[in-house]
Amino acid sequence: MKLVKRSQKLSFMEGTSGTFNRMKAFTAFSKSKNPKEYTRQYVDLDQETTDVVAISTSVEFNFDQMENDEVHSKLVDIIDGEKIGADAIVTLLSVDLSKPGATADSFVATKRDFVLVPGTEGDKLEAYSYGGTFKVKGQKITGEATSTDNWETCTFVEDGAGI
Amino acid sequence: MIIDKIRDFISVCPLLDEFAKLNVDFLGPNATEYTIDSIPTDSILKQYVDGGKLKQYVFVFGSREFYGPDVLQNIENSGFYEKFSEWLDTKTELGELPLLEGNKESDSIEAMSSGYLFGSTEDTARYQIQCRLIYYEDK
Repeated sequence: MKLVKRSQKLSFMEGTSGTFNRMKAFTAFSKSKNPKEYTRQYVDLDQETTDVVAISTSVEFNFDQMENDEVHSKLVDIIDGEKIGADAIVTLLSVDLSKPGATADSFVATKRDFVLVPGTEGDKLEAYSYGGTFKVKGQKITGEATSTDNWETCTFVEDGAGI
Repeated sequence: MIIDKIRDFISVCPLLDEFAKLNVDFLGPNATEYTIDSIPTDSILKQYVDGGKLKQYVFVFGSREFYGPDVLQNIENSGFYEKFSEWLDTKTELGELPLLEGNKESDSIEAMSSGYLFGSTEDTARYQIQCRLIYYEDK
């Protein structure tokens, strides 16, 4: 058995050029599934029956702001600019370095749109930090990711599209 | 190496005696001479989820100074360290920090203590101040 490290599950944000930039200096990036349950009791049964009818994935995040970082610049622009609607949507890519893909040097990845819901900022003394929640805004797209610069950036190809 | 970059950084401090040697892990018996000694400590201040780290390099900056019953001389020795601490703060504010190699980038440099007398002989004494360089190390 081999432990899967937290740093093997990398997150990236789509930049202006279409490539995905690694999300650095995040002190928190925890996913929640937030299932919506439908519970009822049928008259012919003695117990309740429950189904999960929807799942609303969200990601609680917190990061220390760094200069000259494209991801931070985009997030800070949305938060400080109090952007709403489509202007607050970001595309995130999760790459699982513990799951190799079908081709050499590729890994299983998931792309999805999220809306940025700002939270608190400036609550630490050692660095200026921003916090908030990414809430799901689109369908999950699975595929594979590859990188040529040690995962500073990566490219994503949907399943079935071929790498 | 980080200590090499710290030495380069401190060597241009205008407060230092221009004719004095700036050593690493060594301080001779004669005034005036300087040294930078690394200190063992926890290096990781903060770990980020992607594997990046905020780290610290703790070191002592020490000097061999003239010393004796002359109060003015001893005040001058202590005053040097007060000014040195302020110089580090100024450099941090200006963003003029040691240029590190590879995936490391300096964040700040600061004194963690005031300058203090560490040991003395009949006519010289070692003064020192504990400092640290905080830097970001990419994965």
